[in-house]
Amino acid sequence: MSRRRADEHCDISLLHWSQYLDGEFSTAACRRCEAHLAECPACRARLRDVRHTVRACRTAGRIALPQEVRSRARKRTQALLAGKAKGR
Amino acid sequence: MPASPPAEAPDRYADLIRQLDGANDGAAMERLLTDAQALAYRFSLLVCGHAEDAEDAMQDALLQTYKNARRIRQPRGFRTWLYRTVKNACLMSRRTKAQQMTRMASLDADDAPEVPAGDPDPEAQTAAALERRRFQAAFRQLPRPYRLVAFLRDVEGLSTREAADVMGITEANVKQRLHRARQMLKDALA
Repeated sequence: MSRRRADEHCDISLLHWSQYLDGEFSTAACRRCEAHLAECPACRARLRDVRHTVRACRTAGRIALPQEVRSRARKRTQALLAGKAKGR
Repeated sequence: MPASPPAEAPDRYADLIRQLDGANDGAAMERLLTDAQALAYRFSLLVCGHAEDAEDAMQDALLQTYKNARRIRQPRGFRTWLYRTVKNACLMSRRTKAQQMTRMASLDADDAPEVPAGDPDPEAQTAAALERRRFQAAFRQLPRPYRLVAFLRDVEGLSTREAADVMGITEANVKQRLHRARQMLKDALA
């Protein structure tokens, strides 16, 4: 990352911080990113946004099977395994 | 604030596959079948957006997993195989339904049950549930290719390589779509 403006006019994209968060940069590039973050509130906010989005994805994925769906899934599994045991 | 590669979800599937020929054979198979169905359910709700198709997809995932689990030669390859299978089962189920019905049903937010939050404060629980629903609604508005990549990478924790394998696209494409998906989600939630 070349030297960039570190103010509200900084034009580093969200994509850049998304890549940073995914560990796509070299160690040297990460160091430059961190130096930039230290002095650029706009980029700190962008990075915070990406982190928030990724965290929200993880939380949104915590979907529990409703009791009746879980119960049917268990019955299907047991029926299949019982059929296999009978067939032995 | 060092960046680090996202931690890959631990591959417990590989461990279960290895157990299939051992003393824990039955328990391992039961675990795999249960997990395959739970994955099909999450996929149906978040990616396909049709709760009414979930049971069909679960049934298909169950049978495919049962038939093929022992044939997977590389235990570490099972995870991508399972996601690919579930993806196909969900999309196929939707296609079949779409041919049968002319109406297009959409998933209502109330169809998506959530894991109870750990916070004992009822107000905090309600706020967290509302936030989650808002996010799930935004997630389901993403165009499908973006929804799929965000599901595999950010919801399920697959690596870029695994997601590329499941989707049949290049790793560069996965990265590109993932960044675009995050951007759209951020904009939707702003």
